[in-house]
Amino acid sequence: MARFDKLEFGEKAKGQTPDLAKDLSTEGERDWLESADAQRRNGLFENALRFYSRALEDDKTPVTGWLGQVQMLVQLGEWPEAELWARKALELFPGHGDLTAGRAQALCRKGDPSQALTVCDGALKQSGTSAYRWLVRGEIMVATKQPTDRHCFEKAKLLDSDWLVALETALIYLHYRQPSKALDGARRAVEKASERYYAWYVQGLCQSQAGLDQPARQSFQRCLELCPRHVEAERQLLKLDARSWSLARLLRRLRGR
Amino acid sequence: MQCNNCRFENMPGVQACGRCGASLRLAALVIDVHPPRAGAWAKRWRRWLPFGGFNLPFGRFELRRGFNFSARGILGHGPGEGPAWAVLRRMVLPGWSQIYQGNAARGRWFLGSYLACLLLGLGTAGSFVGSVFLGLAVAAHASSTIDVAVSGLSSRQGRQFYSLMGCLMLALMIYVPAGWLATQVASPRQLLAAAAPFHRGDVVLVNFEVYGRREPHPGEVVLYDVRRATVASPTAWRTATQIAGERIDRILAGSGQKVTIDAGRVVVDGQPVPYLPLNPKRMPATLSVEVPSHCFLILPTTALADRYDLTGLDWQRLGLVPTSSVMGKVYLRHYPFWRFWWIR
Repeated sequence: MARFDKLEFGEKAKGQTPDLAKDLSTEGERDWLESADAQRRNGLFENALRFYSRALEDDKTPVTGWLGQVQMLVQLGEWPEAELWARKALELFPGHGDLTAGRAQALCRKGDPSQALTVCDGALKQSGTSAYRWLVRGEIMVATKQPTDRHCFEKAKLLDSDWLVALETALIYLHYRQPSKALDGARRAVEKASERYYAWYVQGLCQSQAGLDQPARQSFQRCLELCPRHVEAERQLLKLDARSWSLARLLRRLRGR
Repeated sequence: MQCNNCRFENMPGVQACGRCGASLRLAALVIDVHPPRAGAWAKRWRRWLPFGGFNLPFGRFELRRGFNFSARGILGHGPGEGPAWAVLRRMVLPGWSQIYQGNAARGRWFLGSYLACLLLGLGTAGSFVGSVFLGLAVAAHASSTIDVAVSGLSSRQGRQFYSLMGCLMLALMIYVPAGWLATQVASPRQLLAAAAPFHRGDVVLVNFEVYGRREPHPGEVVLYDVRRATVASPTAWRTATQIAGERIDRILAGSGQKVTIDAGRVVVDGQPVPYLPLNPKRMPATLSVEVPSHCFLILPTTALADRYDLTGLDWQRLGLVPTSSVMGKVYLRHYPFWRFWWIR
């Protein structure tokens, strides 16, 4: 019977212990990923990045961890690092649509929208679809000042009704200094998740940058009610108190930007 | 074995997914899962110079890649890649970029014409011909830059802008600093009138900066500002003429020294000195003078036209030059070529 000695029957045939260990590690990794998501929804991108890394220490196989790392690096403003990391992750998960979209976003933020557009096209051609790919597509449209940005963001919202999608739309517009458009996304996020202080904070930012001082103050105060130790909201409130009349802000407001 | 990437069910034992190529041994791979992070310094600088470059309304400039015009910038339509940094940095020498890009004949033509014009221009600097040749050299360099700039761009506006920027960068980064450095050691001055030992049109090099670092020494030939004086004319129809302005002559003595001139010999503090004024023929026959403080004795022998002469008192009055009137050291007559030599 030597000819059957080297046949593989999987781990289950050898006993239950490794499977149990795998289940435990998967459980741990899932916890880390959930923590990372929770931190991300609170706007704590640095913490979220740490949790994604921790999850990958346990198990390198979930692509969510790699994608989360890339997205957090983008949010933290470390675009060259994000692009590098996305490329590394793509070596492990070749042609993964969301990772490719993450690379496109990093390229776009780095100031290379033409290459970002090419990479994003590649991401959209991959099998399946996701809100993130359309968010990135919309961001590239915003960066290249093309009018189809709203369509892309609407597509993203249709694919995923999570309030985070609306909020990320707002963050993208904010990054490109279009607070009036950003305010629309932030309002939707607040409507969907009024108990989330980060949504209020982002709405306050949009209002503040759009020159709507009083609503911005109310948003920041609401954020502080939900999270009394939100340092950034306190700082924004102080900034609003110290703000004087500005011709540039008035013009921006008149232009509706 | 199911692929984590595409959920494709692979045969057991395979290394990579048969559908998407993802590694199926990812869990066993020893790889770093911590992403690289930007330092605080890098993040701060990226606000101003993101990833070694900066964004402009019409595109982006990166230190490594050069200009990259945006598709919808003010420079027109279509993305146009500017020259790479490797080409850009070779623009410092005309023709080098063309040679680097493989167009050696064109590059040599640019380099040859530039070097020829530059050498002729430097050799005749200060004269009209020198100005023409130096201008041609700069034009050859600018042409080389424009040639590189336009070869990679398709839009007319992009070419215009890039050429303008290239020439501006050349001027600011090469020619203005080079001109400033050159004037620190050599400023050409052309003589407008013949005054022995110089001829009309001669160009001498003057170092204006040397006396900012040290005091002039007796025996050195200097450019100085001669005092305005009226000199009696030997002709009846013209009673007098004036001498004034910049002149070149030798310092005979410094402050506190006693100078005696007798029979064509110059004696300073009782010791004969080996040097004479630049035009010894116009030197006074006899003169005895003690140089006051903050003055030099420089006899204006090159300031007088033929047949004009000064009396003993005038020599004293004009020869004592305040220290502040000494402008720079004259050390070389470099044009015309056949009279090229050091002035000692």
